[in-house]
Amino acid sequence: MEHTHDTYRLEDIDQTHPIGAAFFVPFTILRLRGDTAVTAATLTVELRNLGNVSPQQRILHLSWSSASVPPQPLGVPERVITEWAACGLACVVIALYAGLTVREVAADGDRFDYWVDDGQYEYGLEVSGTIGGSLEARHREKVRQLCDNPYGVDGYVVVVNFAMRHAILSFNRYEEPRR
Amino acid sequence: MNHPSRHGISRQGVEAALAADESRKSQLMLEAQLLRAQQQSEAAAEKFAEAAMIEERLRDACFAQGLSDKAFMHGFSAASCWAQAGDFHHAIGLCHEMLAHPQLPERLRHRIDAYVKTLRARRAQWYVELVGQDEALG
Repeated sequence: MEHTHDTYRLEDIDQTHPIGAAFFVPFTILRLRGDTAVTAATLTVELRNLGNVSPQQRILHLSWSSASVPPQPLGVPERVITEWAACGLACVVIALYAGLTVREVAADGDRFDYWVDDGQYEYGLEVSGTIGGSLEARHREKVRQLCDNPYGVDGYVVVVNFAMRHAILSFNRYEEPRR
Repeated sequence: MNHPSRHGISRQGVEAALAADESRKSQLMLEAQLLRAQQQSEAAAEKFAEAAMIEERLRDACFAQGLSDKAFMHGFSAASCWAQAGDFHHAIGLCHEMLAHPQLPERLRHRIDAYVKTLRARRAQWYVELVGQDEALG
């Protein structure tokens, strides 16, 4: 399979997405560096249904400043760290590979986490992270959830496995539920 | 970037002031989620209430610009934020306003109707617990 290498500075998500995306940076760093002092990580990102974006598997080199490393524990449960770490990575890949902006935090009940836009229309974005576990199963579950949204909008799913350094970004079309 | 054709909610004509409100309420919701995860419920409720007021403003601005789908999106988010701030009465009132709107899409009508039932059930449960506490104290 053909691979293309991309580079991105994690802190740049704050300039790209006007929701205060800097919020996610320490969480993403924590999950990517583990107990080490590294300031970069490499992930594979699988792209699904994104039109003519090619190739479909990318190598993403992500870097950050040591000044962005949280100096003390973030005081939230481990699963919350993983979820917000995935949100930080979602901000990177949705800009880099779909050319979209994370515009708004979605409501509890929307069935996805964020609204993303291309300047004219807004779509859903559902994000989920895991340290281990099956990414395929999680991706299927999150697509089902996104497609249950009450607005009938199409949307994107980003799932991340931090142990495998692997992520999937997919575009998903809304389908009317069968009666 | 060439995407397949997509179906979304229109934000055409959204101006800078409205976009700034979208940004502010999103930051407040993230802060509220963090505070809640840190078990700081009171501080989280304050942030959700502030976000809810902005969502109501966004709803009104979108209706005024003819962006009704986006207006309903902000209306539902306002109700959700008020509920998370603990103000079920206000949340249910906003839901009823939307349910009375003739342009409310059917899918969203079902979701809001279900949400109102959930909020009423939670409020009833909370009331039972509150009365139980009062009786235990009295």
